[in-house]
Parts: sequence; structure tokens; C-alpha cells
Amino acid sequence: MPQLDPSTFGTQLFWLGICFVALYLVMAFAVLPRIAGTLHARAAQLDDDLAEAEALREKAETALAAYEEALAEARSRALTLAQNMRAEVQAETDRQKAELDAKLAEQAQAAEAAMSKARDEAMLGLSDAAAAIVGDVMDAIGTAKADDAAVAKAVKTVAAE
Amino acid sequence: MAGKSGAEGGAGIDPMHQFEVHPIIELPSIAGIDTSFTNSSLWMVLAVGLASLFMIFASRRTAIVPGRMQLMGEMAYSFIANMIKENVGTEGMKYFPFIFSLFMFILFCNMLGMLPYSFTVTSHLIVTFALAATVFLLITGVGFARHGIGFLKLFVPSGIPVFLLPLLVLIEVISYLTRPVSLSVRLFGNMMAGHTMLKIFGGFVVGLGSAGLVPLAIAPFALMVAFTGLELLIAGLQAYVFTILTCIYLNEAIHMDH
Repeated sequence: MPQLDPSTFGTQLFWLGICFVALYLVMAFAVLPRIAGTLHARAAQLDDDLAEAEALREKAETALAAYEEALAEARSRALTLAQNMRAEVQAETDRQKAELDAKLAEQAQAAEAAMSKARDEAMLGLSDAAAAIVGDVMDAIGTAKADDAAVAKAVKTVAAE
Repeated sequence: MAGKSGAEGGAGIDPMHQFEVHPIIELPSIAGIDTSFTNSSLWMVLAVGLASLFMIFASRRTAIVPGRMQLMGEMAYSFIANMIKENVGTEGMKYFPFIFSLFMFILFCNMLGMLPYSFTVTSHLIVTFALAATVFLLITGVGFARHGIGFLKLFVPSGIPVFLLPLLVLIEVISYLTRPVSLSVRLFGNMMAGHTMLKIFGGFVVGLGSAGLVPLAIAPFALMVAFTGLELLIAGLQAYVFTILTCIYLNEAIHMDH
């Protein structure tokens, strides 16, 4: 086995030392700091971008809240307006209806009064006529001199029955 | 065995030949250490060069929205960074460059080893042991730096009868000290076994093919294709295992929660 030949150990160790130290120096001072810097810069950039996105999101949320508030206010105002309008219309209708009712009631009353007056008049005329007829009949029979006042009274009594 | 039969076919297939280290440029020894530039050194340099190029290219752009290369670099970064954060916590990020380099080094060595005619650096025990020992020393150092002498409490399990303590402390110390061995042998063994197996099946294919038995060579060839896929998986997985065990040991040294 060539691996167990001690005469090659010296050169292998010597060159291993040189090569490994050279690699270590290149990595430690030229390569790794640069990569670390890049990774660090990228992480910082990502954090910045994320923070910015978060800020923008918050702004958008604020805007949305303001919009929703305005919308709710407008809606409630519209609702109030509609309610007021409805109440006004209702009041106007009620007022007109009441007016009409009053007018109609008045007219009905007047008509009723006129009617009862006409009936009273008619009734009065009727008993007069009956009294006259009764007087005429008694005259014609000729039994007794008709007393106008008594006849009228008797007719009235009969009519009342 | 298969290697020997392949070698008879003239192809010179020895499954262990691929692990031989031979110098490309002879260099003088410094303080008794042979510094020759070998094929092993070449593939180490290639792995480090490719890993560096890849990561440098991947980190060239620093756009907020990444391109393809940038994304791959960032994925590699996040993969290891998340591994440390999950297993160690944020205190572990101090050791991130080390652990990341460890992962990249092992991954690229393993992956380059999958190329034909390449050399797998991590198939040598001395290399994986050196890495594991570095991890072990670093983590032990971190443990003593954070907890001082109290770090030794790691070896004393709580809620144990006193007469059992000496035995258990001994076991704990041994298990702690064998960590670099298990860590290095796991990586080395996986790499070596996989490459040896691929070479043996390759030897079958070439041997049967050159003996004029091409239809018979299809079976080992199909197996080789399947094993190559498996080896690619293992190459990535072992880099991951080495790294995550490092994280787990580091967590223990930092938090001392056994």
C-alpha cells in the first residue's frame, strides 16, 4: 500500500499545509466576507421591502376605513332624509284627509238638518191637511160645528200614535 | 487478484498503483522535510486553485438578485453556515472560514479524484489524518480556551456511581483521543476503497475486452458506471460527514453538553 510509505509523508504534509493555508486565506479574506455582505444586504433589502409593504398595507387599510365611514354616513343621511320625507308626506296626507273628513261631516250634517227640516215641514203640512179634511168631513156630515182647534188637537194625537 | 489477471493482459493494472506518490519536480529538503512537488501536490494545488477560482468567480457579483454562479456560491456558503448554526450555534460562526475551507478542500479533492488518471489526495491516510489532527487540536484548544481546566469535566459523566468513575473517565478519554483516528480513517477508507473497486472493475473490462470477450465485459462495465455514480455520491457525502462531525465536536467543546 503506497499510503503506508513514510517517505512520502513529508512532501504530502508540506504541500497540504501550503495548499490548505492558501485556501483558508482566500476563503477567509476574499470570498466569504463578500458573500456574507451580499447575503446581509439582501436580508436588509428584504426587511426594508417588507416594512414598506406593511406601511403601504396600513395606509390602504386606513383609506378603506375612511371610505367605509363615509359610506356609512352617507347611508344614514339618506335614510334620515327618506324618513323625514316620508313623515312629511304622511303628515300632509293626514292633514288633507282630516280636512276632507271635516268637510264631508259638515256637509252630511247640513244635509241631515235639511232633511229633518223638510220632514218636519212635511209632517206639519200633513196634520194641517188632515185637520182641514176632518173639518170638511164633519161639515159635510153636518153633525156638529167643527171646532178647528179641537180637530187639530185630535189629529195631532192620532198622528202621534 | 483481478489486478493481477489484468496485469497479465499487458495493461499493467494494479489497483493500488493509482495511489503511488511520485515526484514531478525534485526539490531540496527543508529542515529534514522533503518538499518535492509530487502528483499529490499537483492535485492539491489543482483542488485549491479550482475551489478558489470557483468561489472567487461566484462571489464576484454581489447583486441582490443573484445570477447562476453567484447563487451556487451563496448556496455553498449557506450550506456550511446553516450547518454550523444548527449544530454549534452562532458562537460557532467564528470558525466558519476554517470549516468552510475544510469542506471545500475535501470536496474538491474527492471530486477531482473521480477524474480518470487523476490522483485522489484524500485517499492517503497521512493527509486525512493531518486534517483530522488539525481539527482535533483546534477543538481541544477552543475547549481549554473557553472553559480552562474545567474542560476536563467533559471526560467525567454526571450521575455515575463513584466506583465506576475511573473506568468511565478512561473510556471517555480514549474515545476522545481516537476521534482524529476515526475521522481520518473514515474519509481515507471510503476514498481508497471506492477507487480500488473502480480500478478492479476497470481491470475486468479491459482484461475481458482485450481477450476478445467483449460481450462478457458489458456486465463489469455496467457495474463500473453504477459505482462511478455511487462514488460521486460518496465523494460529496464524505466531505459532508467530515464537516458535520467537526461541527459536532466543536459544539461539544463550546457548550460542553455531552
